[in-house]
Amino acid sequence: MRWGPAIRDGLQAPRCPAGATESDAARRGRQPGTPGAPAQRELLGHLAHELKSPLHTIGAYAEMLQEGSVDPAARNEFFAVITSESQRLATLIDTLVDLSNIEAGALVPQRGPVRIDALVKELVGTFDTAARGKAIDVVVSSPGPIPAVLADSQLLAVALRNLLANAIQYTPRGGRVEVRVGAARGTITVEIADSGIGIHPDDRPQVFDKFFRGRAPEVRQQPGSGLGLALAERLVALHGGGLEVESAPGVGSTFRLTLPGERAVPSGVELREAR
Amino acid sequence: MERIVVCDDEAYARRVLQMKLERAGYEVLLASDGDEALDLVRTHGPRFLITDLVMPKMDGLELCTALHTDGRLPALRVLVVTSSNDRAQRARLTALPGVVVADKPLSPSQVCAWVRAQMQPEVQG
Repeated sequence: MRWGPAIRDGLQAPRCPAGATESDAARRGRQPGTPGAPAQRELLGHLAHELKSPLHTIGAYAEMLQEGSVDPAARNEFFAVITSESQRLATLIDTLVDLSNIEAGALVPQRGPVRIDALVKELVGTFDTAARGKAIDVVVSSPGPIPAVLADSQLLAVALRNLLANAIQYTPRGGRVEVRVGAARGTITVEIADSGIGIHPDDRPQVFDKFFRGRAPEVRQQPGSGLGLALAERLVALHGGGLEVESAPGVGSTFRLTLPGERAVPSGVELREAR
Repeated sequence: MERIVVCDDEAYARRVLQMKLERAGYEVLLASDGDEALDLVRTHGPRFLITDLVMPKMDGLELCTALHTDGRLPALRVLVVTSSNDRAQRARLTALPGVVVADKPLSPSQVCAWVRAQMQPEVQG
């Protein structure tokens, strides 16, 4: 499935070297970070395709502009395409570096007390324009004060941004995205539920695989690298948490992010605002 | 006016090629996957098809194979534009009559040049 473009703003990696740790993929019983030759060839093939596609577009639009045959009205649009494809390329490269660092155990969360509900509200605000552009109603709810967790707010923000971007990207015009923050028995949860196109049951086991793109044409028609959810899942796992998905094609998907209770901060601890 | 089908799942890529080819005097029909391209070829009988390889539903190889089964090759000339390094896949494509494979990135001018070259009368040896 071609999930939304991977989002990485604010992530600085590697921030601190660390001893070798078991990769997330290996821990979950999937292909480890150093795949064998056939898997590596397949990954490189995906990589070549994802890198060359925006380059192809940038080159084509630049050539048309260089020829001077583009009328003024279309010229701005051409520049916008070049800018957008350049950004897509930069984001893709950054995401690949992040994934590689995670799998090598070289990305270590810088933990501090984080108010997840505040972080979620701040991030949802950054999608206001995108949601309004598709007339999508984004609603945030939480039952009351949510205990802070010891986490890396920047890394969690990257994971949440990718999940929000995914929900908005694959929800048709006029749809709804609900973001529910909760706490139960010391576990913090964030559910992002959309009324989008959903995920085919056969695609679900691979949703968090790198470069995975679903079979639905509605998915393939959207831009994306198939890396956003992979990065989100690994960043959550880096915090000892989990990311699950429930979905029904044509009805929508719910991604449930959980962070373990032992990382919750007892009340009375001074909190810093989410960055 | 020569008719060309352009098939790519990336709207940006379709648009820029359409603009270039139309300015060069060709009639351009657009498809976003192999299924659509096959329908357009069967309905409109273009002389050229320019297609991406990796696409949803029906990919470029399946499309070319279906066109071969239809008996439309090599009268229909096909340019497959790809970033794939899969040699076996390339070999299967180029084994089909009238099909050539080109690497991305490929500029609109290069595509136009390929079309023009196909229209030159062949020199008999």
